[in-house]
Amino acid sequence: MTDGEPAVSAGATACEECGETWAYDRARCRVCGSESFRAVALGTGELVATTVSRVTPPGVREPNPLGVARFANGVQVTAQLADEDLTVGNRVVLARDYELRHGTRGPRLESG
Amino acid sequence: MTRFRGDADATIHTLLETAARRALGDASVAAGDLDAVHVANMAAEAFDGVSGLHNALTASIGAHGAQADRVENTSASGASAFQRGVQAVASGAADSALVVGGERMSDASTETATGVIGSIVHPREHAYGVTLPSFGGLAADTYLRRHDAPYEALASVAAKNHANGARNEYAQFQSEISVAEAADSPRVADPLRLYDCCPTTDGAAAVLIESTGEAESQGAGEDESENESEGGDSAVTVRACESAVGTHAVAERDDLLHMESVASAGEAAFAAADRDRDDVDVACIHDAFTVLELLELEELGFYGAGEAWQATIDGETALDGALPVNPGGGLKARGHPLGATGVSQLVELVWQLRGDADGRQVDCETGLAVNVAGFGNNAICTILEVSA
Repeated sequence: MTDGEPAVSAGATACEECGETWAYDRARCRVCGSESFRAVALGTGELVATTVSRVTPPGVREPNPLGVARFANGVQVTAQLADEDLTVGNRVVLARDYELRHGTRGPRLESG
Repeated sequence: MTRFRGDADATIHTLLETAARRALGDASVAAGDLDAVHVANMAAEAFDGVSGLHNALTASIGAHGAQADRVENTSASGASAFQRGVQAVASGAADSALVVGGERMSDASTETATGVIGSIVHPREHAYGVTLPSFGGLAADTYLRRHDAPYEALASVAAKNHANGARNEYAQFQSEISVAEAADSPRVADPLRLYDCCPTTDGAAAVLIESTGEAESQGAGEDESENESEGGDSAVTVRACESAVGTHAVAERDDLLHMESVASAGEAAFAAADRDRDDVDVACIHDAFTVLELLELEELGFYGAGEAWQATIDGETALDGALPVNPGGGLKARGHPLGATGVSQLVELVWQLRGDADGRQVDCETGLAVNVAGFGNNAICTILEVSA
């Protein structure tokens, strides 16, 4: 990661060789092993699970509403919810720039 | 093993040595005769400010000349150290291996403990402040929703395991709780409440693995006699000890309720032991959160998807049920001193298989334990047995 990039990307990565798509950084494609990637947008997904973490680590908001969202091509991410009222089944996007924990910034799941 | 406590009046070194000496005494083995000592511990550097536990222990018990190492596999360090010991004996590299697991968590602040334990999650999840209870909450939310189950499905696991812990003098919590009390306890990670979560614990446990001298005729060689601490003189046989990793990031699982590591380790263990689910009379399941006991019972094939919660409410997993689960109280009531937990599960199985589990004895010849690292990052499944 280079200076100036957010710690957490709002996008996804697709393999140039086989099309496998993922959200979390990888050195190579877990399906075909290729190291040739391109950035793709996550788009709009669906919230599939939620919780509100009420005992949080140092430097993290408390309470900390969290969710798992599923996007196109089966890509899933765990992320903070921008709004505790978001519920399973809601359409969501991973967007904007928040302080996620002390010293770490990135996007949250918002109503899409 | 030592009595598990919330705040032990002993150092990590003393806890490990106490458990080790009890196991050696039980097996009537002199420390000087040990070939190998494997110590399980996750985070003594953070919790106690010390490292090199295995060398300190091996010297203090007098196992001079033995090979020694420390095994770290987060909350499954205990069973991983046991697997290392089994492999050492099965390979012929050692005739006797002492496995000691321990953790002393109470000196660390809650912030430190939460930070240390939280550091094992995927970096991307760590950025969001995701804790292990958070994963428990996400899985529990999914489980209850998918299977149209009430919160009491979770609380009944806690009530059952506390009832068992009340019969175990080594347990951290030796008092019963009701389902209603669990349902009224403070929320931790919705829908999980305080009584759905294991505590932080100080404690140690130890087992001794010895060769039967039959390894060469046993093919894969996973057939050792194994004695351990506290009473009785009948040896217990290790039928299998197998482990497997799963994905690191929970979100990268196709199904949030799928614990690939548990399923894979279980399949491998049943195959290596030449046993099936129906052969298992008692099980020690890694119930760091109540929902995990349900998920793991289903992943191991004891119940179909979404069936374990009703079985628990119906008493099938109670001491007098068809498949007693966590008779010693599980992580929930016996406690969860990270590095000790996997070994303490095996100690409980040995006591049960020998008929030494006073007050909570179940009728058994074959026992299974599963010890899980992180939220399914890795799992070790062990099958122990006594002759009929």
